Amino acid sequence: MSLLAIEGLSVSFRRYRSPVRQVGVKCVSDISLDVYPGEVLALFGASGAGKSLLAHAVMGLLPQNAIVGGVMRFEGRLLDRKEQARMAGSRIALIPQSVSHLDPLATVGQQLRWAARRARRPMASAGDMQRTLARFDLEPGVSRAFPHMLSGGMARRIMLAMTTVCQADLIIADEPSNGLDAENTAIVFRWLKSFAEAGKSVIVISHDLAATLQIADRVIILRDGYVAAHEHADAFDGDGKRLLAPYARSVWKALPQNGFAEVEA
Amino acid sequence: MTMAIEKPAVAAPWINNAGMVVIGAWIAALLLAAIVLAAWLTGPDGLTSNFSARLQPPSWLHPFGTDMLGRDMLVRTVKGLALSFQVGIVAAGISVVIATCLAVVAASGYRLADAIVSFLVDMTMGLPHLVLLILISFALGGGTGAVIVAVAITHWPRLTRILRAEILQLQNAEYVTVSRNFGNSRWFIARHHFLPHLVPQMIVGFVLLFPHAILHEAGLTFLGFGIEPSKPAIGILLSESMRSLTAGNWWLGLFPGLMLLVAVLCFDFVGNGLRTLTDPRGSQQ
Amino acid sequence: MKLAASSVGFSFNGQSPVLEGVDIEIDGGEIVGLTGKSGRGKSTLGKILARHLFPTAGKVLIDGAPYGGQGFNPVQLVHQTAVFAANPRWKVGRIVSEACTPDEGMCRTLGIRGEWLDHYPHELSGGELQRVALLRSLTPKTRFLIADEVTSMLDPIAQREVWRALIRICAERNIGILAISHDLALLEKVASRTVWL
Repeated sequence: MSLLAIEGLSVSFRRYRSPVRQVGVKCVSDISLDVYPGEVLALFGASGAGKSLLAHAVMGLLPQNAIVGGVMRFEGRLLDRKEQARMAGSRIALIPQSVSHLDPLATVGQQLRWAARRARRPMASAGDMQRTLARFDLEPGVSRAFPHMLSGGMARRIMLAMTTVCQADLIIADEPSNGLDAENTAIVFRWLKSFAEAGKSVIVISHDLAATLQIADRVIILRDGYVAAHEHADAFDGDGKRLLAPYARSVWKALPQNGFAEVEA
Repeated sequence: MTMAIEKPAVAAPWINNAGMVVIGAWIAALLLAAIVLAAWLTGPDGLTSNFSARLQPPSWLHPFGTDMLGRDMLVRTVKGLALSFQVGIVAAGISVVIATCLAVVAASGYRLADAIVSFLVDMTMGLPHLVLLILISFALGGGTGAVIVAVAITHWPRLTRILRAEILQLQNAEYVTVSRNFGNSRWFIARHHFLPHLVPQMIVGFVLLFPHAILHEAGLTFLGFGIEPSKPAIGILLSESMRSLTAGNWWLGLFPGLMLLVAVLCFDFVGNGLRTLTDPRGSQQ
Repeated sequence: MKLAASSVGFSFNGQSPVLEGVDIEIDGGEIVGLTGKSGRGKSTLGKILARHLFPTAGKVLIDGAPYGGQGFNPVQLVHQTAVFAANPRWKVGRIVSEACTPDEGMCRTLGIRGEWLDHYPHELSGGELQRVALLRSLTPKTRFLIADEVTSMLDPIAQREVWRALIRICAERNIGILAISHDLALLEKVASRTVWL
């Protein structure tokens, strides 16, 4: 059974076109997907394709003017507002895009403790804190630092630590390679893979196809809010002949590694 | 199967935040126009005493009743509001000008200028409002002009702070650096990049200052430090009505007070609404 | 034309230097890659070359002479977060015409859609804004473009289109491009040589 099942999800926004008129702007249409335990599902697409919106819809983080349609189920149970409030931060965790999502006025250690408390698994001792940090190659002293003092790589690792602290079953990573160089990206992706290997479900949202393919099992490509392709990760290989959707093939060939090539229609 | 669809809870598409503010703005504008027009049209005739019609409660002939000299209260109230509006507009306008100039000086980059302006802001905000107003009005000998000056020079601090912060933020904006790198002059940048951000703040500042100024004018006049008693300011009307309170002439105080309240609330509502609307990101409400 | 940084150093407010004794040269018509570990100062160097920041040591020279500072700066910078480089109260149409009226060919090359011109910056996606920023900076007077992670937010197809356009523009107008990126595969494809910080 899938851990998370999404059927026909659509997200629109009420926006003001002029001082008085409101229109509905459709951003995500008719998305259906399943995520199973122990796998990494990659959500790939250009910026504006709706990937982050999907993550926010699952977590219940959409702004007030959002209109959501469709059904979401977590472990078979309907994921409505009440269920989202229970699950978010404890069973479903989101690793946000940037360090600016951390509280700038609290130290890293405090925020880790809060995350643990929110998930109803409070840290018993300083030893817990040290162990959590050490798992991500972070010195114990980091717990006294403020978010703005952290480098991009360290900040990303702190956010990964916050995820492990709440021991979620579904982890959604929103653009985990943003602002990181190749080395740090590889480290972060390895950690995400280790979550899946431990039996969790991981959804990786990224526009960096090459890095994501290193760890993904399946890939869903979004385009302008629609699902344009649904592929197995190992089909992204060589010439891309095994890819089912033409769009997926175009995207694969367009990578600089594959020669910036164009696919004949 | 149950669908977890959430429909937006809106009755009609135009009854939304922005719509309410536009409606409010129209009402305010009409009110302003009606009052000024009425005051101008009735002329001094409406204020002639008519001793045979003294202290009459509201009736068809005199919807707001008459006062102790037989003058129609509706006419007096309308004229009073018109006068208050004039005072309010001028005072609020001068305040906005003072605030803008001081904000520009403070954000000019000279530490001393900033320190001086900030000190003035803190000092003016720290002194008790009403006391300052009375002192200044008294020192200038009372009258309409004194009230305008008193209100104008005590109400600029809040707007100055807002504008100063806005200018400082703008100076560091990346698009300003880009514009400079395009070879655009300081005047171009001030006019095309800074002004579009500042003007909405100035307008909002003005619309919010305006009811404030009217209230202060009414208060000062009520206390006797403001406009001359011969002119029908709202403050005068209210202070006169106080004397007749125990005699049971309720209409003398109710109608002027109510009209003042309606006018102030109207502009306050519009001002607050404008403040939310002037942010272009406010389209996502 | 030649853009050069000579012994450039930079530190924030007396803290330990982000850049120290850096030399780099870009000729008109060539694409030079710049890469290195994050935090090494690549973006800072880019900003110094484009006069968004002033070096605490060393000089930036154009054809051997320091740039006067008046008029149009021939070195333009476009970087990853284009949304902050746009005045939120200006419509996109006005933004792209700030330096000069963009020509049709350039619009098409960069994939700019006409309907964008009527929108505000926050209504466009990151990728769309990126193209707008590039269009604005590529004026006839531009001689050098510092492209700091300009395509890292774009999907592979859009990235290819933009770089194809940039390579063409670079050749046609003899503009020198400094491509700052973490993506080594990309730099290998577009740059004639790569400098490591």
